[in-house]
Amino acid sequence: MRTTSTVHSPEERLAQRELGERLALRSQWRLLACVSILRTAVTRIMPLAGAAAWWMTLVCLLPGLVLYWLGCLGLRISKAASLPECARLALGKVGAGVVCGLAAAALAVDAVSTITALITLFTEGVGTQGTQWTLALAATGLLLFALNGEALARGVYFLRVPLLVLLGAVLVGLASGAKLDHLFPVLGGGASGLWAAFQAGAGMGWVFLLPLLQAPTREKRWHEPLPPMGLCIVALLCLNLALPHELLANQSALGDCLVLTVAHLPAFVRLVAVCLWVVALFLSLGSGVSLCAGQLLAPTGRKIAWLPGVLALAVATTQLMDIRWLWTQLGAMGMWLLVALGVGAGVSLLACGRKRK
Amino acid sequence: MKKAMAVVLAALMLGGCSALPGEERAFAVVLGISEKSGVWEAGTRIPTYQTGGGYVTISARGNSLGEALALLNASAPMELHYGQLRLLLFGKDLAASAQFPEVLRALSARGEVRAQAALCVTEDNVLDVLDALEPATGSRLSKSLEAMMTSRQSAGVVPRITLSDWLRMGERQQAVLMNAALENADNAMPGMDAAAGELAAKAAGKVQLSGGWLTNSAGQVKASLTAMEMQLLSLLQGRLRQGTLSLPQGTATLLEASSSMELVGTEVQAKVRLRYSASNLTEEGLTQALLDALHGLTSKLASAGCDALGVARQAMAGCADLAQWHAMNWPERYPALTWRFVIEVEREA
Repeated sequence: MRTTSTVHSPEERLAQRELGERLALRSQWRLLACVSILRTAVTRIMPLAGAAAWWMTLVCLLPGLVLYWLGCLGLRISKAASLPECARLALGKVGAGVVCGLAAAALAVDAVSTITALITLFTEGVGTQGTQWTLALAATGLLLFALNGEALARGVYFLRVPLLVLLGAVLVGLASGAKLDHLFPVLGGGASGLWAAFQAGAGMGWVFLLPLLQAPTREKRWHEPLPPMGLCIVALLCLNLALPHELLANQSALGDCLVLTVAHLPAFVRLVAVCLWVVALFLSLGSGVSLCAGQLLAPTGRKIAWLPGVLALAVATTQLMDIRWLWTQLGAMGMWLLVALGVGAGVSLLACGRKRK
Repeated sequence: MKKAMAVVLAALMLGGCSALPGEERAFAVVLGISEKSGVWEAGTRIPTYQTGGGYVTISARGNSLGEALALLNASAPMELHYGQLRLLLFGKDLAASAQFPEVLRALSARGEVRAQAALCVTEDNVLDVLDALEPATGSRLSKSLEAMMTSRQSAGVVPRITLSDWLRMGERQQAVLMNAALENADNAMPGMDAAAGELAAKAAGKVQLSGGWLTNSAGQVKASLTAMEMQLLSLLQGRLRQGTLSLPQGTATLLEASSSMELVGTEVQAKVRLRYSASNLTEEGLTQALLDALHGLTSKLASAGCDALGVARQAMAGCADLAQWHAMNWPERYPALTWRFVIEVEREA
């Protein structure tokens, strides 16, 4: 990202810098979306849907996708660049604060889910010696380094291609053990399992509403959710091709679900996959905390450098709770994240539309 | 900033490494388990880590599998590590019991057991087989075993099913497990139609890997296959494409081989294409010999309830959900299937 040039005017340089920051934010959002979708699909949808997990995830993402498109249409009609701006125009600072607050709450809940999955992967996937709390402190300590200024956003932007290459290597490893019949039975465990999977995963499309919180990087934004969505569906399809329904549907614990995604890979590819999970969860955690801090401060227009660090520590303290109880509570909140954000967005857009009339 | 990120990521990726030096850890090459009258015996073959090399077998007995493995680790000279396992060896009595599938699942649930270890069954005493395992070539037993299994598999005389393969078969296919037997002076029966323990063959080591053990839908060993039958199964599975094919009526050198299979109603239609040379069999003779041998093989598979060819995979594709699949009752349906073979042979002039 080039931000200085001797041939550009100060205004052009400022515009380039702002565009670069928005691109970095977009990379953060895309990483967070991919990790959130894959984490939910692997740990909540797959044990219930089994062989049907890949298309069931697509179905679960549709509510979020439809809300995003409605949000794009609403922003276009109201001529606002983002949802907080729309809410500010229609409902004042309080309205903008509520929308940003809901987004921050959703990001915080997602960050807690991510750190829970990360710590579980350390203890049950890698086999690291340590308790839940000490590992959370170690991860948070490293995170505090990464949360230095704009380092994390730019780091995620810098790492996007290497992460995609590593993911490609893992998908090739999964494809080497793929069998077409692993996609059958098409309906997995049956209607009851699919309905339970839908209830568990219907809220995970909330991540698609996050791009509406900032100004778009391009004129047209309707296709923004499609790249992370497409990537996740392809990854889940490869996983479904590699593992039969009987193996997927037997898992119930968080650790078992995460380990299953890497357990049957060839040795070196398994190492790459575990590293990819750890890095992606870590960067997603940092992105979630960083975006959450951004949303909390957005209505005020201020910048508090230490706020992301404080939020990271707050998220880490949730690991003092019993991990199984915590994971169950986080699962119950899933659907409400989408409902809350959707209602907030809808109210803002309707109010803005009426005000313009 | 980029350097800081690189340092963070490197620290993160290395965070899982253990600080235990190589001399304080013993990498097990083979793990053997047997059970008799409620007493579980676990043994493992580990390097001595002394000058000149060499391997030693350590063993322990317990009242359960977990206890035997715990005692094995507690009495080993160093902390045992199963991340480099090449072979999981089981006694035939245990493999034929109802506990066998649970044993395999329990081993896979122990994250440190290497999922790519090959599964093997022996009728001989497990500890005796472990003691007899020495590097046939070179100085490393792991390399020697890998080379032996690869060459046997290329010749089509052994199956190579790993723990990961067994888990991923699910209800769609049943495994044929490798057979291991001690060579002894009484081995006198010539030809590949003999059981592994009777083969008149001397390998570089003292353990013969040859033939296989058929498992049923419950995961229990039910019957065995000779090396000759194993070759035919490898041919049907598409794994044997070149090499010498042995039949009761004679041999043929395969230059090219392929097979395909389709389930139509209650009939399995299998097509086998061969191009061969250097044989005492004419094309008609080879066709008839193959037909007889393949019918004999599929009858044996059906009697044992072993769907080694994964015909169930095609049957499952027609089921909408798992309940419909279970309603089909494949373990009862499979033995009643009829087999129709179409053999196309071409002798190279």
